[in-house]
Amino acid sequence: MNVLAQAVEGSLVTGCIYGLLGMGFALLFRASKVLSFCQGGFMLLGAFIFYELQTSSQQPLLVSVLVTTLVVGAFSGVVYLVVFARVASRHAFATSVATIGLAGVLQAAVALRYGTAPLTLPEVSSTAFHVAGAVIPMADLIAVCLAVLTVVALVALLRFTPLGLRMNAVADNASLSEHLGVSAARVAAIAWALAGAAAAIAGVAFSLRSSVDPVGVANIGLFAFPAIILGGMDSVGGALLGGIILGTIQNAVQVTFGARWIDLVSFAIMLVILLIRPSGLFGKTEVVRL
Amino acid sequence: MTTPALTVRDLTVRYNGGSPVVSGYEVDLMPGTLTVILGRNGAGKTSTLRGITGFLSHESGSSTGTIVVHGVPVRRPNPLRLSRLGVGLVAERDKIFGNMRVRDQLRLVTDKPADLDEVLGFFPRLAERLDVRAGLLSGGERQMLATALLLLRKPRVLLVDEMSLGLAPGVVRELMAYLRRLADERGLTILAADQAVHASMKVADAVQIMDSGRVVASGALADLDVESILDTYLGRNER
Amino acid sequence: MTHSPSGGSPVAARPTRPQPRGADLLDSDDGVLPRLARYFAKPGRTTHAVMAVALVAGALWAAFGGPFISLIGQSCAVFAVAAVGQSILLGSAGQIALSGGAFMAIGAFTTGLLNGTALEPFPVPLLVSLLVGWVVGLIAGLPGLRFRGLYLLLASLALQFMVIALARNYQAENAPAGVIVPLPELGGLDLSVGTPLYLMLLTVLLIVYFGSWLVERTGIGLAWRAIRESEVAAAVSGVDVTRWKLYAFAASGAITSLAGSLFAYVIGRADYVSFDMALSIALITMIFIGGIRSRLGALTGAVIITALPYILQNYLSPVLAGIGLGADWYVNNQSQVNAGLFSLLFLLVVLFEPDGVEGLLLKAERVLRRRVSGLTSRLSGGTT
Repeated sequence: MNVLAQAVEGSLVTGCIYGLLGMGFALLFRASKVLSFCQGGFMLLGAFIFYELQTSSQQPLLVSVLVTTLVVGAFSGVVYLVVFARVASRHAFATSVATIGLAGVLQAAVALRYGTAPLTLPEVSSTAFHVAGAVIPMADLIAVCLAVLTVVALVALLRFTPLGLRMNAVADNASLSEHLGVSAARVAAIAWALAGAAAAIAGVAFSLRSSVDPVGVANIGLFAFPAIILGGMDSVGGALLGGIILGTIQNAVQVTFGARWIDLVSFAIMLVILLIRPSGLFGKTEVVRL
Repeated sequence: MTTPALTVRDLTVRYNGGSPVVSGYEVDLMPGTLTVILGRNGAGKTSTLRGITGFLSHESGSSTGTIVVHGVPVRRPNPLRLSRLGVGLVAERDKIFGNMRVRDQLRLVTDKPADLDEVLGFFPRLAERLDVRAGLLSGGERQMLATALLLLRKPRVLLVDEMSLGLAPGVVRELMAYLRRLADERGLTILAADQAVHASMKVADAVQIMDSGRVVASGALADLDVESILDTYLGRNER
Repeated sequence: MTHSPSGGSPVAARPTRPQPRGADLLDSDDGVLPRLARYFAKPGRTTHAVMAVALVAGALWAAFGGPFISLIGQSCAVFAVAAVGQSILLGSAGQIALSGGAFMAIGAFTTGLLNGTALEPFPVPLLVSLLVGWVVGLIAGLPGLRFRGLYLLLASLALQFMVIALARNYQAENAPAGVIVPLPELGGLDLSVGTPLYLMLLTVLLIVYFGSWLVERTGIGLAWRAIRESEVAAAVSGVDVTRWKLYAFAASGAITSLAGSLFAYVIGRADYVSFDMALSIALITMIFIGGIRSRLGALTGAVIITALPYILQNYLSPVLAGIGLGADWYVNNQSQVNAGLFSLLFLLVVLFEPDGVEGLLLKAERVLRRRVSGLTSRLSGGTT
C-alpha cells in the first residue's frame, strides 16, 4: 500500500464531506445573507435518519439516501420559512446568531432520541477498490460520488435554470429582485432546502464510513468552517475545492505532527485567511471593514 | 373625468422613529404626464419616492399616508405589492444587478422574445452590451438598464429617482428625452425626482418643488413662475 | 433623548443650566418622597430598581440559605462576572464574539499554572489572570479591529477552538485530570469552600460591577457608547475609535479571564473540557436573555441561566411524572435537556425579543406608566 496515495484518498473523502457542508452553506449565504451555524445540525439529522432507515426498515441504499435527503431538505426549508424568514430580510446578522441556537436544539433533540453513545452502521459492502496503491472502500467511493454529483447539480442549477437565475439575482440585490416580481423569501427558502439536503448527504456519507454520535458530528459542522472560509463563503464550487484542500492539509498535519494538532492548524489557517483574503480563494464577498 | 394614475395624500416619512423627513406630501398624477420633483439635496425627494413604493422597511424607515394607484387604495406599500399594481421605481442606488450580464438580468424579468426585442429597440445601446456584466456599464447605460428592467414589467406608473446623478449633461438630456418618449408614446405616467433643473423642465408637464420635506410650490409648468421659485429655494445655481 | 415630564402636572420652573444625571435627587429641599418620585419618573429606572432588588435579594438568600443554595450562588457569581465581561464588548463595540470560553480558559489555566510559583498566594493569581486576559484581548483585538459583525463572529470562533486545542494538548502531556489551582486563603481564612468562598466571589463581582459602572460614567464610557451607536459618526466627532475599540476588547478579555480564574478556584482545577464552545454560547445566551442594554441585564441573564438547571431539577419531576416521562428523565438527560433548552431560549430571544428580560420589563413599565398617568389625569379631573 502506498502511504501517499492512501493519504490522498483520505484527504479527498474528508474534503468531500466538508465540501458538501460548504456548498449548501454558500447557496444559503448567497440567497439569504445568513451565515448559518446549523449545517452541522442538519448533517446530524441526516446521519441519524439514514441510520434509522438502514437499521430498522432495511431499505435499499438508494431509497434511504433519497428519503433522508428529501426529509432533511424539506425540514430545512420549512424551518427557514417559519422561523427565520421574517427576521432574516431585515437583520441577517441577528438571524446568523440565531442559527447557533437552532444548531443546539437539533443536537440536543438527536441526543435525547438516540443517546450520546456512538452508533455504527453495518458495512455497506466489503468491496474495496485498489487504485494506485490506495485502498478505496465502497463507502468512500459512494461519498465522493455523492459529493461530485451534488456539486455538479448545484452549479448547473445556478448556471442554467430560471431558478438559478433568480437565486443569483436575489444574492446580488434582494430588494430589486422583489420589485421585479421575484419573491426573495421563496428563493431563500429553496436555498435553505437545498443546503439542508446537501448537509444530509454529508451526514449519509459520514455515517457510511464512521460511527456517529451527536457531539462528534455536530463538531464536524463547525470544523467545516475553515473549509468554507478557504473556499469562499459564497462560492458553491469553491466549497468543494476548499474542503479538499483543507482535508489535504489536515492529513498532512496528522502525519507530520499528530492528530491533536489538526484543529489548531485548521483554525489558525481560517484566521489567517480571514485576515489576508476574507473572500477566500474563490469567493466574491466584500469585506466589512471600518 | 379621468382617474389619476397615482394619488398620494398626506405622506409622512421618518427614519428610526425620528422627526419626519417628509411631511404632508401629496400629488395627483394624470395618466400620460411627466411630473418632476425638484429640490436641494436632503429636501426629501428620494424619501418621498421610497415612501410611495414601500422600500423603507429595509432601512428602518416608516411612512404614513394614503396611496391610490389607478383607483386602487394601497394600505401598506411594499416593493412587491406596488410592482404588481403597476408602479415601478428606478432607484438612485443599487438599481441593477452588478454581478450579472445584461442579457441575464433582462431574462430574469421575462423570457418573451417580443417584449425583450421591444425594450431593446427602445434602448439600442443596451442591445450592443448584452454580454457585458452590468457592473462594467457606464452610468448612462446603467440608468437605461434599470429603466429597461422595470419597463419589462409593463408598469403604468414609473417613479425615477435622481437619474442624472453623476452623469454628463449630454447623457442627462438623452435620458430625459427617453422619459418624454415613454410618456408620449406609451402613455406611461412618470414622476421623476431630480436636481438637473433645466433639463427636467424641458420635458416636464408639471413641477413640484420640495424644501425641508414639504412641497413648497407645485403646478403645471406653464402656470408657475418657476425661475423665481427656484431662485428662492435653490439659489442661483445654473444647471 | 428627550426628557418629558410624566403625569399631567406642569413642570415647575427651574433654572436651565445643564445638570449632571442623578443630581435631581439632591438639588431641592423637597422631602424624600417627592424626590424619590422624581427619580423614578425617568423611564427605565423602575425596571432597573426592580432588577437590582431581585438580584440583591437573591444574593442575600445565597449567603444565608444553606449549602445547596450557596453552591448555586457561587456559580451565579462566577458567571455573572463572565457575563459582565462579555457585555463590555457588546455594549461598547457592539460586537458579539464566540470566544468567551477561550478567555475563561485562559484565566483558569493561568491560575493553575501559578500553583507552586511565587505568585500563588491569593489574590495574586486573580490579578495575573486579569492582566493576561487584558494582553490577550489586546492582541486579539488588533486583527479584531478589521472585523465586524459576521467576520468577528467567525474570527472569534477560530480563536475559541485554537485556545481550547492548546489547553487540551498541554493538559494531555502534563496534567490529564486538569491543572490544580493553588488554595485560596486570605489571612488564614480558607476561601475554597462554603460561605467564605461565596463571599469572596460576591466581593469580586461587586468590585467588577461597580468598576464598570464607574467607567461608564467617564469619557471612556461615552466613547464606547458613541462607537456602539455608529462608528463612523464617532470617528467624525473626534473619537479615537481604534484606541477605544482596542480597550473594549482588552477589558472584555480581562474580565472574562478573571471569571475563568474564579471558576477554577470553585472547581479546584482547570480542565479544558469545561471551556468548550457550549460555554461560549451559554455566555452569549446569558447576556441576551438578561438584556444586552446594560450590565444589570448581564447579571440577570447570568443568574437565570445558571440557576435554571437547579430549579428544573427540583421542580420538574412531578410535572414529568404527570406526562409519563418518568420523574428521573430530566436528571438522567440533564446536560442534553439543558443544552437544548438554552439553545431554544437563545433562538427565541435573539429573534423575537433581543432585549431579553430587561426589554420585557421595560415594556411592562411603559404600559404601567401609561395606565398610571391615565388614571391620575382622570382623577385630577384634567382635560381628556
